[in-house]
Amino acid sequence: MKKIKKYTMSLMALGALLILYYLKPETAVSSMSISLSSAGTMLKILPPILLIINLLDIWIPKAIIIRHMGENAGLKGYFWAIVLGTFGAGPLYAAFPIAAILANKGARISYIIFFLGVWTTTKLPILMYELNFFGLKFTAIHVITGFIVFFIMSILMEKFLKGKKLDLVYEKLSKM
Amino acid sequence: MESGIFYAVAILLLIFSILKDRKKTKQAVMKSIKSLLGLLPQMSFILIVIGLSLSMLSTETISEIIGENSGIAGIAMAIATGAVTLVPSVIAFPLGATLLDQGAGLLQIAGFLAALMGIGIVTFPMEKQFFGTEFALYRNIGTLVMTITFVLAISVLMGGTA
Repeated sequence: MKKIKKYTMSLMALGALLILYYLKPETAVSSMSISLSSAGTMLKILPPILLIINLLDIWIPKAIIIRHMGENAGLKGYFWAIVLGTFGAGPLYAAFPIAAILANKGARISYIIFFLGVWTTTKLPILMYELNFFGLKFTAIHVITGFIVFFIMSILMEKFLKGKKLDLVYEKLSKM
Repeated sequence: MESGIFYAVAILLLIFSILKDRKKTKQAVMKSIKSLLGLLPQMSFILIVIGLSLSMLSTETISEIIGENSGIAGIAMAIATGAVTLVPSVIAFPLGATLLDQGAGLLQIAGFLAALMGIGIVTFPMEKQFFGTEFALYRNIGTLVMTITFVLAISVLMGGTA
């Protein structure tokens, strides 16, 4: 029963798909083919990412992460968040397991938040596309506003998530 | 292409790890399989919704909703569309450029792209599973603030009007 409950949302979406099939069969078929091709991408990308992360988890000593991104890393922590986020590839959900590993190794929450922000604005492969399609000015404004707002957000969120709430986040991440 | 690099790195690491410690490696592999299976319920939902949204929103519909003269409502719609759709960024940027050519406004496209990359309504269940509800909520709200700031900055610095 619990297993089925996990799929409630999926079943509801499937229901919507069925209704669509009844109303507009062609759209429903194209919807299904899009889902399947996205499933291919997702299933291609996630296994190696999870494997890499879990292997790094074994072999990267906690002390290194604490030194570079721990509670007292200062601005250096933000620097590493930028490096990790920029060299990331793939959609945002690919960054979640990386955030989990960083958390388990003792990285400070504000650096993790900033890392996620950087991932959503300045991933290197995407930056090339953006430059190509929208030009330098647009891209520069995007990156700079991203860095400023996410920097402020990382500080504010850390303040909001003090104490017990923060322990809860780390506890959740440790289970992933 | 991207995934090829991931596989190469994963295999190299795996070989290194097996040579160093078989037992620990096995644990890591098992843990990876377990977390992949744990993500399946969220993933299946996300995948169905990606199909539904992309099949129903054609390029023409999107450019109609977020056209150059659609104003602030158009920007809001663009951000909302970006927040609920899940298009890989590799497709999103060419799509954004196409929409721009078809008469969508620059501010609308800026909002659409920033929301698309950072706000995840559909991926929210997955984010919640990783970080808990509160964190996921704050992060998405913060990213909405970033998106709006970005649109304002483009408006001021690149002269786009709503």
